[in-house]
Amino acid sequence: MLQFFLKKKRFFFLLGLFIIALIFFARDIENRKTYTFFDRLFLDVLITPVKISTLCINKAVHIWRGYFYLVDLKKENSFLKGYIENLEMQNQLLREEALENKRLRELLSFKKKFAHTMRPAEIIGRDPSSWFKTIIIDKGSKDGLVRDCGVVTPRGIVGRIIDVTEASAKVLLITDVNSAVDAVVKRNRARGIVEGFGENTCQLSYVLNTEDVLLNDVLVSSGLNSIYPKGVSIGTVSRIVKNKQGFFQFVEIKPLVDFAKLNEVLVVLKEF
Amino acid sequence: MTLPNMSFLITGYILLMVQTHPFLPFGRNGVRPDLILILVIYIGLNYSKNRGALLLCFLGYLFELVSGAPHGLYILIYLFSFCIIKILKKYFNFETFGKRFAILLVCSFTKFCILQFCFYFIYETGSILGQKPFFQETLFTLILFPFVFTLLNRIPGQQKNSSDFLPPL
Repeated sequence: MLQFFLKKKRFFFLLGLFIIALIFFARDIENRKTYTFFDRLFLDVLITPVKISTLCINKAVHIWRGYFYLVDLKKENSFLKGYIENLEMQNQLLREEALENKRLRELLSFKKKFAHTMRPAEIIGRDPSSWFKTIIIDKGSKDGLVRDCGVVTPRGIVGRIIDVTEASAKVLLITDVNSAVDAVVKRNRARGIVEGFGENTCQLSYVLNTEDVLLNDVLVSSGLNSIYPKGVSIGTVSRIVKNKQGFFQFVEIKPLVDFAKLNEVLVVLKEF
Repeated sequence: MTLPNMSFLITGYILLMVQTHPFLPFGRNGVRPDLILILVIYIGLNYSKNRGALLLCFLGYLFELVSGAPHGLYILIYLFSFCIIKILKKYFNFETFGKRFAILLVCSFTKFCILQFCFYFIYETGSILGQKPFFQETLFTLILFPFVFTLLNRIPGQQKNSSDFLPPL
């Protein structure tokens, strides 16, 4: 027996590695594990050179863009002056509306809206795999980031933090197949779950066939999962397929955030 | 740890960093070349079973640290690819340019099959993940394959008198 094992030791060694990998895989599928001490240590060592090179390249890009900015400054200045005049006009109207809104809220005894603390972060790494959609940002637990913090931009939701180390954090994008965000259609408050669909699209799941969802409808976060603030844009409806057989319709969502051009994000910090 | 082991580990680390870098010119839409797969092929063609498999397990682990993939998936993919190379190596020699490309295609397809299996049966989203990322990823990897392979051939500390050693492209 021992002779047989010794004779086939290479085969059993490989088999052992396969079994260990399978066990890790099965455990992670069942319940995604957070980083262990060694994971955090390895990742911090691994990501530091990328972080430094990204920051250097970003600096160079800023300097280069600054040069072009100066070249086109005069032209842009006159355009911006006109733009500011327009915005000032709009601002005055909005101030009036805000005051009216405030009065009405006070009248109706509405609770004061929860103010979220946000921390800006820079992207220092993208998923090396073409099939999973994550990014790595340059802020970590020492900046107050924890697992399940929401990540947004002024355009809309980016994703949520799934792993944190001392100096970096991994963000699961809303386009990843493991992602799910509770959402409502802005126009008629129809509910659904925005799930990652791969290839930079999402789908709105569990929307009944009877719900009135139209092309270009905007989806916003419902605020129910306490990860994202309420009312943050997610994307627009790009395709609808009404299923005659089932209960739910197929709704494809195009995220408002352009993930390819994303360089900076805002992390919504958890309030304890 | 021996010099070739260390050299391959450092090379794998550098390749992974290149693949993770946000300014990589390839794959702005999320599809990236799999540079580690090229290293897997190189190790598969040049290394012994035990040392190669251990090295690939560690590289797969590092890959999963920076990726959103579940732990163990890429270790499995790289081990499968490694085993396929070892089996094919018994029947073919991979000294020509075309045969090395062919083995890359076989490994890419193996990886695609494992990932599709995962998406179909575990994430239940297989039908929506089309072949587009697979073709793009394979194309990017094929483009970079000769350059990376030539660089790997120049890694110091390799047993150049070994019968397994391949001449540069």
